[in-house]
Amino acid sequence: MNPVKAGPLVLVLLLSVLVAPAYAYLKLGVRVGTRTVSLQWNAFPIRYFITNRGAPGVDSAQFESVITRAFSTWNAVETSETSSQLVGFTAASPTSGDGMSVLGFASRPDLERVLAATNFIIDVTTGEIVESDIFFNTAFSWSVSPAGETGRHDLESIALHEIGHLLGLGHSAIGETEVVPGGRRVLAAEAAMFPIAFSPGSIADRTLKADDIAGLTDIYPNPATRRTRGSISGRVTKNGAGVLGAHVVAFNTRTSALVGGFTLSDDGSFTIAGLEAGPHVLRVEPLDDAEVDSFLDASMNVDLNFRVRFHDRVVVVPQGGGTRGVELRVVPK
Amino acid sequence: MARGCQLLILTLCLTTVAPQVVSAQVYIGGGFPRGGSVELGGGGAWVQGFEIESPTAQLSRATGAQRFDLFSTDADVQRFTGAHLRAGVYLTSSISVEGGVRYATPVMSIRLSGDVESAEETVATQTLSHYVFDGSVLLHFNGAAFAGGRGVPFVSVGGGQVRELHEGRELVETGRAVHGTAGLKYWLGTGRRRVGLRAEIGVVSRTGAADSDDSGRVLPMALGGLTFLF
Repeated sequence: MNPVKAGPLVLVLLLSVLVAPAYAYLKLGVRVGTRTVSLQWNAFPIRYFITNRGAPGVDSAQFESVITRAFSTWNAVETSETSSQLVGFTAASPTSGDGMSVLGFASRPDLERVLAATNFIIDVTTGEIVESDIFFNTAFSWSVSPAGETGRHDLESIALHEIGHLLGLGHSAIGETEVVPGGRRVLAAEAAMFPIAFSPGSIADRTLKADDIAGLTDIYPNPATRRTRGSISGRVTKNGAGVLGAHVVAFNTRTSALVGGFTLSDDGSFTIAGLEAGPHVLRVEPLDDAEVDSFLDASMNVDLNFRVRFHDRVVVVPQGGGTRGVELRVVPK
Repeated sequence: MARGCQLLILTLCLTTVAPQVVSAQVYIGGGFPRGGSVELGGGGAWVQGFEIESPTAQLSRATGAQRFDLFSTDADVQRFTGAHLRAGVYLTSSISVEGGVRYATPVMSIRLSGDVESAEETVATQTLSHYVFDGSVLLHFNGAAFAGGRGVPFVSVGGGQVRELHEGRELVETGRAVHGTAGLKYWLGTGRRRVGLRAEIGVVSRTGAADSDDSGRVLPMALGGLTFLF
């Protein structure tokens, strides 16, 4: 069983962090009145602190180096605009509510399947992220070795995932798993934001994939990106009715990029944004490669009873625009 | 026997001489197009289909080395027919230059198979709008004309731009096309203004546009239609 690269676990002000509808894979969102707005930072650079405590096998200097690299990986995405700044070390714990965004180790043996988690303080009227903290669970063994270490989780890979949450991204479903006693094992994934970690020792998640980049680009596009990237939107239906919680993957046949999205409303509508222009093929599948609540609110009545299928039309993404009205019809299993 | 041979020789002489006389008569009456003559034409076009890049959708494994296949693609642009229009001017009686446009609506199809979760094999399609804007130089072999100068072989070389609009007409991609053809014009009249038939076959080498393979590809091509001389 692989532990999870935890999602946004703890939320302050008793807010429910929702998923924002109609965007590339999942963005975190919050309900404001009748609409859901995306969580995002409005001021850059994101200023963060690092705890001055290490963990077995990782001293604070190594921790700083890894976190800086992980932030840099996100900030280097050419199609988006983000930046970050390490303010310094702190003795504060990586928990919310102190006015500082802090990343550090914490001992949480009670969270026996959670490698790390990201917490937020947000402005409930705008969705602006005011503060975000990340803790890495010392109940697990960590590695900062460039080549990885057998039996230890790669800190940089997990940091990359959690910083994705810090930036406002939810989980991606672009991965395949198999059920094993006590949980799931990841066979393969094509997103740093996939919720289940690779086996200890793997460093495969140190790089961002197309799905991660599309998500970040969707939230923080740069001016050029608005003119060059596009979107696909439509509905997933079964027997004429909308399907909630279907996972739609767009595959760019030019670049081999895989970018996913979800149907997030009862009418089965979806939008996948941040896509490179060009022809795409679409594949729709039920959300059955991880626990549903890894992606969506547990109260949502997600439909898992349909067969995987391909769309029979090539869908073309224009530059700076969108292709709308795509209907993906699925049939029950 | 000797008389028979004489008749055969006489017949051969007549058949050899007679076309020369007829040809001379036609040339005096109108003959081959002259420098400055204008030719307009149009008709149908056929181009062979071709396979295009067909990547496999893959995921990363924990080791990062071997990839995990999600599903396979097999893509092509099916052979297509379309229309063309041309306008040219003769520089001399045997050399002309012309410009033209070809239009067609080829179908791009992508076969999706080998899905890791057993999704039913599907062929996804889209219809392209295909335009070629090109220029050509034609060399007419007047010396090899036949049927009293009505039939004139020619060769053509040229090149231009390919523009392909994907379905929805919101994404256009451009490329290059170079062609070489050999053909025949058969004039239905002999006057200075006349109508004729034109047919040519050859190859077109195209690079870019909806085809992501930058190395280019050479495809058989055939054109045919009516042509008017002014």
